[in-house]
This record gives sequence, structure tokens and C-alpha cells, in this order.
Amino acid sequence: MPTTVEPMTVPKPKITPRERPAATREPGFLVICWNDPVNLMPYVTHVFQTVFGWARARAEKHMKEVHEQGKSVLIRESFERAEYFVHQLHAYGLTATLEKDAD
Amino acid sequence: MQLLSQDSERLVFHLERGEVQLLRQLVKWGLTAERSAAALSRDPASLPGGAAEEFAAAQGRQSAEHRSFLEKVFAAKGSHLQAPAAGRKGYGLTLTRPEVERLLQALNEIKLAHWERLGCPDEDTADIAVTSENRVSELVMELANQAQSILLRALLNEE
Repeated sequence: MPTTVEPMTVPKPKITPRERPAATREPGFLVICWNDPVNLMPYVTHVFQTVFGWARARAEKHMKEVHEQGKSVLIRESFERAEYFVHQLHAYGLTATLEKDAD
Repeated sequence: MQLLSQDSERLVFHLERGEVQLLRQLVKWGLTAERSAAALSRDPASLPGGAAEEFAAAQGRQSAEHRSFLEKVFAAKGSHLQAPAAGRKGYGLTLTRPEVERLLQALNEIKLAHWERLGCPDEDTADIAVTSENRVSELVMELANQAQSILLRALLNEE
């Protein structure tokens, strides 16, 4: 009588970009948003949601970081993608820059 | 400015006549933000060659696009502004959702330009010299803040 053998699968190790050794990561650029006294907080939250497609909670977390700590690292991307995002943020009048990731 | 109605595509606002006149005047002045703080990077040397210059040119184009968008929206014979509804003074303003996003951006540009004209003050504006020019800029910033709040609430469907 044939028996059913359970397939054996070895779960793949879950490696997030932050856990990868710096030497093996692609060179990237950080998109940073800087605090200013002129943009409204709900406006900044809305811009983060619109530009990055984030849920409101995540957008608010970064908005608060900008407001309370002076800046927030929003995302790490290739140069082209980071430049695109900075351009989008500037279109909304936010003070954002891209900085080469030292890691 | 207030939201009158909205559906999944369009939003209709009411604007007082004075608000429309002021917005038209602002567009005519054509004041745009210098964007001194809007550099691409705080370490330009780390960027590929020509990126900063290309980026600055794109910023200039964007300011021009904002201005032409506002001219179109507030044109006397355009398709966005409607004559006052019966029993009301002022105008109806019909915009699609992407146009509301553009209006948010364009209003913010005007606000930033006037903030720069005031010398980029902190939130406390008590130290700003009392001149008629500065008073105009303060009023423009107030109007922009108020309009932005209304547009944001409308987009978030919080009305």
C-alpha cells in the first residue's frame, strides 16, 4: 500500500536588507526629510502617504520624527529612485535631500 | 473657501469673491519660492556629475507649471470656476482629485515664497517688522494654510 510522504521543505532564512552585511548591499541613497517651521503637520503626513503610498500611521510616525528630531530618514533607494522621491517631495514644498548611505 | 460636495472623482468648493480676487492677484504677482533649502543633497560631491544642476532646472520648470495651473484654475472664462449659485455670493470651484493635489502643491509654493519674503521666520512671527508688505505676506500665508486645511480634510473625506 502506497504511503504518502510529507514533502520536506527547508524554510529559507528570512534576510531583511538591514541584516545583510554592509559589504554585500548595493550602494544606496537615503531620502531624508528635514524639519521646517512652515509646512503644516497634516500636510506633511498627507505628502508622505501620497508620495510613498504609506498607511497613515507610518506617515504620521515619520512626520513626528521630522517635527521632534529635526529630520527623518524616509527610505533607502538607488540614486535614480531616491532622486525621483526627493523631486516629488520638493514639488510639495518639503525640505528633502538624498544622502549617500554610509553603511 | 468651503467644500460643497464631492464624489469619487470631483470635488466642488465654494470660494468668496474676495478669495478669488486675491488668488488671481497672487498668480499675477508670480512670486515663486527661491527654494534655497531645496538642494538635492547636503553633500553634492557625493552625487553623480550634473545631477544637482539638472535637478535645479527641473525645480524651475515645476514652479512654472504650478503658476500655469493656477492661471488655468482661476481663469475668468475657464472650466473650473462657475458663476455664483443662486442665493450665494462667490464662485463654485470644481476640481478632480489630482487637481486638488496640484492645487495643494501650488498653494504651498506661494506660501513658501511669502515665508521666504518674510525672512523665513520661525513659528513665532512676533519679530517680523510691521510693514504693509509684510502684512500682505502674513495674510497670504494664513489664507494658504486655511485653504490647505480645507483641501486636506476634503481629500481625507473628513468633512
